[in-house]
Amino acid sequence: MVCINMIHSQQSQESQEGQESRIIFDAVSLNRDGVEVLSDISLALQAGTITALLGPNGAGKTSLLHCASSVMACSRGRVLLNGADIQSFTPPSLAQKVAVLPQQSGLNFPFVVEDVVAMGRYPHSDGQLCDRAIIHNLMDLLHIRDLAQRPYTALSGGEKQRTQLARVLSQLICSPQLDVYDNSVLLLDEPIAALDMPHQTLLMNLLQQLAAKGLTIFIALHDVNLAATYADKIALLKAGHLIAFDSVSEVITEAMIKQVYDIEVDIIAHPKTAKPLVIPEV
Amino acid sequence: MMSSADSGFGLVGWILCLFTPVMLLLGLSVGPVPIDSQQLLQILPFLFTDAFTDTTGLDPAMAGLHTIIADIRLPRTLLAWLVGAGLAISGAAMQGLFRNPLADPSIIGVTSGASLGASVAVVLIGGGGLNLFTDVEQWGGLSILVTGAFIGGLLAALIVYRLSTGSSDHLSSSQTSVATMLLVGIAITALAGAGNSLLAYMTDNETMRRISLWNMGGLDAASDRRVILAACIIIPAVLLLMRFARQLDAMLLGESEARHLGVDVQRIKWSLVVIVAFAVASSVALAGVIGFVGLVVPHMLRMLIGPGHRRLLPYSALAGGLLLVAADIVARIVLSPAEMPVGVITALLGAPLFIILLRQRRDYGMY
Repeated sequence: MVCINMIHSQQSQESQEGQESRIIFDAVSLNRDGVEVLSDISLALQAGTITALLGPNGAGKTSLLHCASSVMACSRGRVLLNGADIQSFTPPSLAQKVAVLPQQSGLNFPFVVEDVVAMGRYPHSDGQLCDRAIIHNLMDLLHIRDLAQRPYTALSGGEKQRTQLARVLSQLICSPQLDVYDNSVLLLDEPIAALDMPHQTLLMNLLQQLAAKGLTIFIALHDVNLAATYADKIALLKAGHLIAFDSVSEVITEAMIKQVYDIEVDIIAHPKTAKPLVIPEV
Repeated sequence: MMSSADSGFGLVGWILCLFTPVMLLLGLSVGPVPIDSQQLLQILPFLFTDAFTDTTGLDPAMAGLHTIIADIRLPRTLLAWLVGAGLAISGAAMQGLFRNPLADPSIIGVTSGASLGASVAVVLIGGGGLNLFTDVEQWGGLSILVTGAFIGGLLAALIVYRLSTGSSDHLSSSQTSVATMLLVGIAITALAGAGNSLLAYMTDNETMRRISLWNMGGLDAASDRRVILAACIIIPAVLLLMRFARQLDAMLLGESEARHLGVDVQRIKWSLVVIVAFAVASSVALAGVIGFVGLVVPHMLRMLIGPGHRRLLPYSALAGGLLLVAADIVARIVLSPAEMPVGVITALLGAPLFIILLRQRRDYGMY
């Protein structure tokens, strides 16, 4: 309790400076089948920011997201959502605050696209008209409005992914103007893998827009350059250890990439944004 | 939910509602002794009175028909309707829970587990002075039958679910494996079949014939008591299952996705398995093994109205009741005046459809 109170007071101080911690990983470790997949990870996600989670395959990105969504209980340490232990939330109350896009989805029944997106509204009851406006707006934004009455099972991989994204976003958006519910968190596991380049950019811009409205976003990515362009902070994982958690310019360095991915890269400044751009050495 | 497909009751629903009374009346009038619609209309007002003590308005010839309807066809038709509704909605719920359109209670072993449970219960109690199949018509015998079937069915459902679904701390494998599910179902069906054969082998010829007839499924033993018992279990089960529509829709996205949408997955799983085991067990105990209703009905409805459970569950109950009453009518007239076991009819209809489903398996992309 003492510890929670400390974090509370710390939070209220932070919020006065506009730096409220939405999710706090407090010395989180996770064992699976006797193997430690996460060890002693501490980091705080600031409200209204995008934090990218980078690391090689098997580094523990998905496991960390599972801890943040309370799907897995940490072996040691804990995860706090808005100051309360995430394990203390009931599934319905957690679903009103946290939306999760898993790496892959196994929907094999021919729901039409609009019905799949509408499932994101399950945790809320804001009235049918409001729900419908939110759903239609998101389908427009993600270019799936034309597919509204098509069965999900007949879609291409990218179309399925955009449908799932619209579903997950509709869980956190409370108005057609893209306002988000207070204190809510979006966890995305590899959301862009199936998307073509224009839709990758489209999604990342949309996420920036939502972050500006106060949504806290934690996103596992493989594309280092996309992370460097859009994220406010980057967390680097390797073999279950948090190697770095800092601003883009601090984390995306030749030495850090070499340490985590074990490849030689050149880093130049992006001609327009001046953000770091990683080029693998040939 | 607010989707276009989910608003209102829908055309298919109204058609099912319209056909239900028609089929029930047909069930009363068709049989070795045909009763035409005029006679039926004359008898119906006196259906729940005793024709022999209160013959007001009925001539002696009609009194005989009254007896046929009140004592034989009415309980039988109602039992068929209840059992059909219970089996079909159970099938729909299991398919949602397993996220697989092939998860019918009879294919995954729940039905045969219930059948063995009922036989064992009767034989075990039989040692205590209860005569197998003769004392069974008393309330005590019927409830022992249902309890045994419930335990057998529940055990089978839990074994299948346990073995075919990854343990909950491995999310990647939380998807139900269909191959395993069908194989475990085969194993349980074979095991239960062996148990039933053993029981049949150890008893006298008459009991053996009764056991094998039971395993074919038959409504000829329908009685007022059986109908009342079936109604007391199946109607609450149907109403309870309909309350899970939204959660089952979310479950189709995947277990972790459902959890992220606020569904208490573990609780839903247990509730569904227990309710389905109750519904299936009571229908097995009271009407024998009737396969494929739970497979065929939800599948055909899904092709008409889509996979949303808000409609699928009530429609399945309505259509399942209709189908089994129809199958029972067919069972009565094809070999008239002899009868076919109704389970044979449903299997003759259902097995080819099951094969067609397997051939279209790529549609479901999960094998």
